[in-house]
Amino acid sequence: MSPPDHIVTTEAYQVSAATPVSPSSSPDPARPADAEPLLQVKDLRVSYATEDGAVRAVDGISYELGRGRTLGIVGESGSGKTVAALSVLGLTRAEGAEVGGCIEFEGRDLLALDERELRTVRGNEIAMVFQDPLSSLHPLYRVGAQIVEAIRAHQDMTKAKARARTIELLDLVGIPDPAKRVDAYPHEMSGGQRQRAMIAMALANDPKLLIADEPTTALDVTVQAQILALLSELQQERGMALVLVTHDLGVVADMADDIAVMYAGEIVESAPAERVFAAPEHPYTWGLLRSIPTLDGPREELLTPIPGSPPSPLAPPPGCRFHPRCPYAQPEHARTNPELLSTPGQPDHRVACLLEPETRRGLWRELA
Amino acid sequence: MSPAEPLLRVKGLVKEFAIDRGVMLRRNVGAVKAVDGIEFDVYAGETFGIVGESGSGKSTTARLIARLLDPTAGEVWFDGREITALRGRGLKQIRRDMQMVFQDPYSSLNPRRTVGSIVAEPLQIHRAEPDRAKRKQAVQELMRTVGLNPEHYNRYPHEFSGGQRQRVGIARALALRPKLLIADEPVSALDVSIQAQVLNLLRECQRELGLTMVFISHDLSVIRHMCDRIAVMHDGKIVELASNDELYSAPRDPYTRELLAAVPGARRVRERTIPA
Repeated sequence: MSPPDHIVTTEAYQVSAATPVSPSSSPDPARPADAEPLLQVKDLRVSYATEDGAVRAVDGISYELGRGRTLGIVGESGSGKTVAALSVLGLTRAEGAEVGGCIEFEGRDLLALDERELRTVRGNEIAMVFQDPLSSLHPLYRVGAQIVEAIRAHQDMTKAKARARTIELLDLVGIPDPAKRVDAYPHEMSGGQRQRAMIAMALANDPKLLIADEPTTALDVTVQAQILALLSELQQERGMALVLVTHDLGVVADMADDIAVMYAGEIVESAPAERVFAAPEHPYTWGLLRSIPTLDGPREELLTPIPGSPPSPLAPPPGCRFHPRCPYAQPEHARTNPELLSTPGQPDHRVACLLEPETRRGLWRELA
Repeated sequence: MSPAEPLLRVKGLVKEFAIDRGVMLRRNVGAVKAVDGIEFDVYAGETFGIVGESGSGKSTTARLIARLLDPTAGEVWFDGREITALRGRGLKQIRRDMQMVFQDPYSSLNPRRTVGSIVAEPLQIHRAEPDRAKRKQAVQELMRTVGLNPEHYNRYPHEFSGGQRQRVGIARALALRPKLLIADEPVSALDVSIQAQVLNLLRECQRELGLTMVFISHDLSVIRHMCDRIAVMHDGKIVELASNDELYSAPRDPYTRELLAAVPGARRVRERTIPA
């Protein structure tokens, strides 16, 4: 593997003419079929019953993703970002969550599928990679055997053929000496290699959509760079769409075409990646950007933290959920919860904020 | 001690951990050098950074300095004394002047004790404030210093968020007014919006109390923000030791360059944060 290189991701990044967002779900006959988004999530609500009451992990979010594109879902712990992505796979259903809204994948509503139908989609057309490969790989089975099983679960293939395909996949994700490593156990691999093996397994059935939940958080920074470069290479070669869930703005800056920022179960801002960094309009996004130390920003000044801490998901504040921590909150912001609306002149840039767009832009100009 | 003397001096420090094999007949099959002959000086009032990936030996180094581990070889000098062989009372005295803040604010605080008694404990152990009422006053003052509500004196750790718990850990570490604070990944377990609060707090405490700090992190951006001089560790060795400016503007060691190049998005975040 060549040393980590930002060029790959930069190229991936520059292809970022944003997919036009169509507000209506009805297919436009004048447009080719593949202009339809691959994935459309509408008003998704996921809540869990707990001893202390219902927790709305995700509270009415909508997002969409075009073929071959990358959406970064960013948020802090408890923001609902993982639930927002895993619901696509029906994984929250198994945990006894109540799921509402609509998740359309290639025009099919995944929420209407039963578990058996869903299994034909999961691991096949939609695959996933988790944060911790050690707990997602079975410790007692050889890595190769687990990938063979993943292939044969969806394809009618002999064991020998599936094994040959597995070796190909391990080679593709950059595992050295794959013909030998195919028989390794998970504990015999390093963290980076295990994550590569997980990616190989995810790619086994050539998915159209890959959901990666904090795929590099458990890894060292040099290994992280290699895995991210690998993901964007594979994505370009295969035209696969990617939902990348992370707390790390740096990772989405490198990888994502579009970014959705989540706070307390809601999307508070969504836009093409460059706009999120150049012209963010939500005070929470400003707070995130200003609270991270950088490699070349001013060093002498103190950082600008977001005051307070995120609300309990059991009792989110009324009105705008960010208002208790927002330096620009007005009294009426405690009463109205803002909708996620396009900002003037930028149909792809949506913000859930009660401040006037002009005010927001002025404030950011002062801050930046 | 003359002002040119370092507060902390580390000389040829080595820590080996034995590797044992076998379940029934455990036998020693060798040793791994977690820290492999490192040297550095830390001067009064500065923040000295140690950065590295997992397994680089940075946390072992912190524990060796604080004498939570005994070195295999080498010396640690603190405040003009060799402390590597200290035991008993001598060691207790050193610990008063040298405190640690740990990564995980969830496991490093005793869940059965109130935060007041957690912060007060070092004062009790070292009999720094024998009077009960005065001790409570001192603890509440410390809580105020680190941005906690002093009225929450009788609450338990689980009633606090991660960032607040890290403040409790810092208040406890500051209770005895130590000369040296060793912070081992103090913000790695915290969300970014909270991370900035704790980093600012550490910087303010350092400035106001004239603390010397050894700050350990895997995060190059955090290290850059906090530290005056920085040692880059790799495989138990220091591969580069430089001032902040030098390290980030002209890194010399290939491994340092690799680390810097691997930081995701750092450059792009800045480029993009220029208003359109």
